[in-house]
Amino acid sequence: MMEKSQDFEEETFDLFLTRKDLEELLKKMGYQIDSTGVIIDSETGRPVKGIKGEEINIKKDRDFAVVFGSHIFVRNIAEFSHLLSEKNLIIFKREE
Amino acid sequence: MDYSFLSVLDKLIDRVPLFLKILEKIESWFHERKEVLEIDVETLKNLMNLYKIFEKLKEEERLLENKEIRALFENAEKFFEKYAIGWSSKRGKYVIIRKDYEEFQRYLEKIITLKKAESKSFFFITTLDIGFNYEELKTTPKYLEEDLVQVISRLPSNIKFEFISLINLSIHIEKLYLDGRMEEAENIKKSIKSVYGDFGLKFLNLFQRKYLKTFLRTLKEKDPLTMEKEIRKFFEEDTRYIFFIHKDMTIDDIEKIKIKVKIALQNKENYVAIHSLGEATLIAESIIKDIEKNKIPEEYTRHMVDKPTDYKTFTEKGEEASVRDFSVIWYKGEAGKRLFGFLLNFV
Repeated sequence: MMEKSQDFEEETFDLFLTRKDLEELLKKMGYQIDSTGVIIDSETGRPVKGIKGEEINIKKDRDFAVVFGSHIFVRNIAEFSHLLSEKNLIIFKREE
Repeated sequence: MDYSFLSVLDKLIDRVPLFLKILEKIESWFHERKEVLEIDVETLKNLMNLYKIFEKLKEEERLLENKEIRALFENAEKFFEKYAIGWSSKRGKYVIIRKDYEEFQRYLEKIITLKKAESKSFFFITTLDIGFNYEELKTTPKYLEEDLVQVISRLPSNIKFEFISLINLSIHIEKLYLDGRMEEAENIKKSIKSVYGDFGLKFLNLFQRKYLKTFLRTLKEKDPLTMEKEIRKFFEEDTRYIFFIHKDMTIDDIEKIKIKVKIALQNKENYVAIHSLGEATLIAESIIKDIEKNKIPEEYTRHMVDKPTDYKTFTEKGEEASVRDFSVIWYKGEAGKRLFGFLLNFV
């Protein structure tokens, strides 16, 4: 462990929250979670979908994430990888 | 007597002092000075495991009757109420942040207002039990041979994103196998299946077994149209009779594979292979035994692999063990030899 505090300004964090905190944050962001676990966008009244077009259900898609930069939901790691690919964020380094 | 329950209880009690010590240490560091604490990967993994236990304990109240486990549960509850965990891009470090820190509250407000708006920086929010796996995938460099990097950059646009994503995941899973992190690898494989279907798993297996890597090298000089045609042929025809056995296969799945292999050998297909790793090798051995009860056409050359790999696994006692590879290949003719060469990593 290391101790260090820097200026918070300009920092960007990937956050790993408890389920409770994540659900609360989603609600503050304007989403609702229906009784079956589907995340609904309050603005449109429609379920939010992952990048492959399937609804996100917090009870079934336990590994989902919200990705900013394009504000998109991904159901799991494989969808996240697909998003990284579409955003040209996967860089293969040359092996010697 | 419920032995599995007692075994869980025993294992957990053994770990209570370690977890309590970590929480105490973090608390004392924060008490001394900071609102943000940088932590190493080991501490993060311990907190991630503690969170998983914490969530399980909510469902298994019976375990809370034990005094030590209750103490751990209550301490964990307080900790997760007080602190948030994440990754700082600027610092390139995992961090713990006090939730009541004003700057952090402002940061969350900023995130809330970002809804629907484009933000310049790319970051994500997920749960603590999976955050580390996301972060690793995002930040760990992926190494590939120079010629493969070139081929990938020239892939046809309709398959490019899917292929790059699957190569990314394949390299990541390979690393998890080498580190002995089987459970995490299996979890990612499930997500590949749900996003890319059986094709995704086939891609992953062919990449892991070198077939795909070597095949892609043969596309170096090809134009995009030819590339696409050859890629389709490779997946749909050339590798049709390569089977990867998985430990969770049902009896029905296994029977179907036996029938397919028998028919392929009868029809004298150029390349028929059965590959397995770890626990699945026992299933593969029984499949081979059954298949070889029948006479295999003499045109075939048989190649068998039965040896430990560099992949690691851990026994229940926590001892390291290597993962065994058991594969049998029957090949014939030039096309068969070519695919066998792919397996051995030569074009």
